[in-house]
Amino acid sequence: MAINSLNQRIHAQAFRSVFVACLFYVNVWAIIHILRQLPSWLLRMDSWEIFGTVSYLLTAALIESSLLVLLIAFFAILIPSSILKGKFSAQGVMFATISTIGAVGLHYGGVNILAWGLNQFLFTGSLFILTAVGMFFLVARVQRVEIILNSLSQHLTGLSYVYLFIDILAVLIVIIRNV
Amino acid sequence: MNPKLDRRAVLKLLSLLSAAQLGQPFFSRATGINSKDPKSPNILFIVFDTLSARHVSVYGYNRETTPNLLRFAEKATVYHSHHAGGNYTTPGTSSILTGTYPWSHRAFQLTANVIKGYEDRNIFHEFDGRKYTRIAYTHNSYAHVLLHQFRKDLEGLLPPQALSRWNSQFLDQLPEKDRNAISWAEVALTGAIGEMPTSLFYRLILNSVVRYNWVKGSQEYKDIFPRGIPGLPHLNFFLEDAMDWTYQQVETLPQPYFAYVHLLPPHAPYVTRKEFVDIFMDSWQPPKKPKHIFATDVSPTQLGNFRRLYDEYIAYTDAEFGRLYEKLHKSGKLDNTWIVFTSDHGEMFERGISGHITPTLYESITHVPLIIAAPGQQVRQDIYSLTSCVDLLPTLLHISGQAIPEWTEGIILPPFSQASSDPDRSIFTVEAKENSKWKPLTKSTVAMIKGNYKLIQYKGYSKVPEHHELYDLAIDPEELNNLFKTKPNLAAELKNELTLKLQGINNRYQ
Repeated sequence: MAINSLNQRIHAQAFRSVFVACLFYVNVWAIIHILRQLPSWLLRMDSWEIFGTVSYLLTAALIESSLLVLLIAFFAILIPSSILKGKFSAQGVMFATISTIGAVGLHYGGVNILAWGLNQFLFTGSLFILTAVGMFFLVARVQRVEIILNSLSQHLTGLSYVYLFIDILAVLIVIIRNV
Repeated sequence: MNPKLDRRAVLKLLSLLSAAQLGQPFFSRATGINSKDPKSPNILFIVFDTLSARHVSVYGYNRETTPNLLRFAEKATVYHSHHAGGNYTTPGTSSILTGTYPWSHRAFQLTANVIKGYEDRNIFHEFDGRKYTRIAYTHNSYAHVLLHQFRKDLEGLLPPQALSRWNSQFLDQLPEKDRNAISWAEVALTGAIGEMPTSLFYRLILNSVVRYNWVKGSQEYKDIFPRGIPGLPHLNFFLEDAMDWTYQQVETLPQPYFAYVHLLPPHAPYVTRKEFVDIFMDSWQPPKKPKHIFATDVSPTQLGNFRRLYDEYIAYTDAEFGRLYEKLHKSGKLDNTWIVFTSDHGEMFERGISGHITPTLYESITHVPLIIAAPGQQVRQDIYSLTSCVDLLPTLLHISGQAIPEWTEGIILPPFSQASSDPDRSIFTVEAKENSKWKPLTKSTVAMIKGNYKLIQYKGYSKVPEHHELYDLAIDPEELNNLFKTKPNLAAELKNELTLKLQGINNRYQ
């Protein structure tokens, strides 16, 4: 019964759409920064070590993407279905997008969380939640936004599956290195 | 429930677990242990990370930072001109462990390890495993990368988290087998060396957890550590635990043993124990030094504050070493044990530079303590000749009656060698973080000391394509008067020697 209820809220297709967005954002960030750091790794690692390191990093990207989509699905389960209105796909892509924008902002803003006090955590957390809630209602009420988000997810599908394939290869390499 | 008992149980369990992960129990060579000769001396090799001899009162520092070390030195041999091989953990520790300079072992970048071919050229390998039980531990994950590389020559190797109170690093929990790649992945994921992290969310979440653990731990122990709990951001520990563990090893290890214990204090953050807080709130000022071209954005006032915090942290480190020494002394464990006390590199608070991640090689960073106590030694001996960390490998092999490999770049330290020390000997410190491991040294700083003179050569930096400094350490120990232009003949002679040396080294990588 619970599974039926979950299926009613989150269709497999919608789940895939959100996962595609998560994979895309996390992998694009990872690959860009791996490529940026590669020249400095060439100074200190041999090719086998670089190969291994990149495998761990891409494995981490797959885990990160999976955890993000699961987190989004978890939130979707908590939200009453009358509010979600079968828009899991668009709402999920929206949440993945604003999470990514927030994370990129924090990274490029040079924030040092290790020096944060409680107030900074509360302020940043509140800002994120308010933005997410605002965007949630925007998606719920403005069909144009929903269409854009769904279309975005569709356009990312091909590339995201390439990333998924590379990430799975990386997982296999990590397993082989540790057997 | 008694939390102390709980913790010990956890520590024991961790030891077993990590040993199991390595596939080699702590004392795996049972047959070998039975055949060991208990008359051979034990060696307890203690490295305190980032301890500058220029801040140690045994070496004449104005603040009394090390009264306990002085007590130890009264029955030991004190080396007054001992120098590190590099200016941070990786090259400094590698040079100690391999008895070679960074240009040979090539571990001169952050998180790097020694090149293939040097994996078997290390102190653990040279100590005969059939004769000695060899164990190692370090708090420092960069040093652990090296110890892990030498693990096949160790009967026991604990990971850093084994003696930690809080470990927030998830990747540390992964199997040790692929430690090097995991370490680099860890650095890349978290952007630990100033780069942008390759993970979108991991660092943000990890740092939030780290911050939470640190605040919680600091609240819990604020009566003992008012400035916060010691450790690196992701790994918090108490030096007291490591000292107790060290004593426990001395008590229980099959003899003879070679134990390498590399402890993080007084490495930053400088969070001393309560009784040492503000003990150096004095009016003493170090000599003023000009701002260096590699100076960072740190004011003289900040440098003074950092120096004081560092000195107070040294006092705590010294107290803990004193506690260990006292226990060893009282227990009679020193009757057949050599104790080696040293550091992998120093720390500087001058010329607009704070810390040790810098291209410079001034004495604050390169001059480190070395004190060696022989079994039953009762009289202090002072050695003033030039010595280097690369000398420790041949010296320890010599005093334990083992063969010295021909590839070491070190010599047997006085007074243990029959030969008198060579007055023309040159020693070196190398900084080459941004140079390729596989190519000639083209972007590096090299310090060469010969007699009283120290030549520092900067090469290949965008700020300083080529620059030399020459100091007479006998009359100018603070390195304030650059003689490179005023003593052209001497400068040319030393520069020529260094150039020839580097040419020989670089030819291997052309």
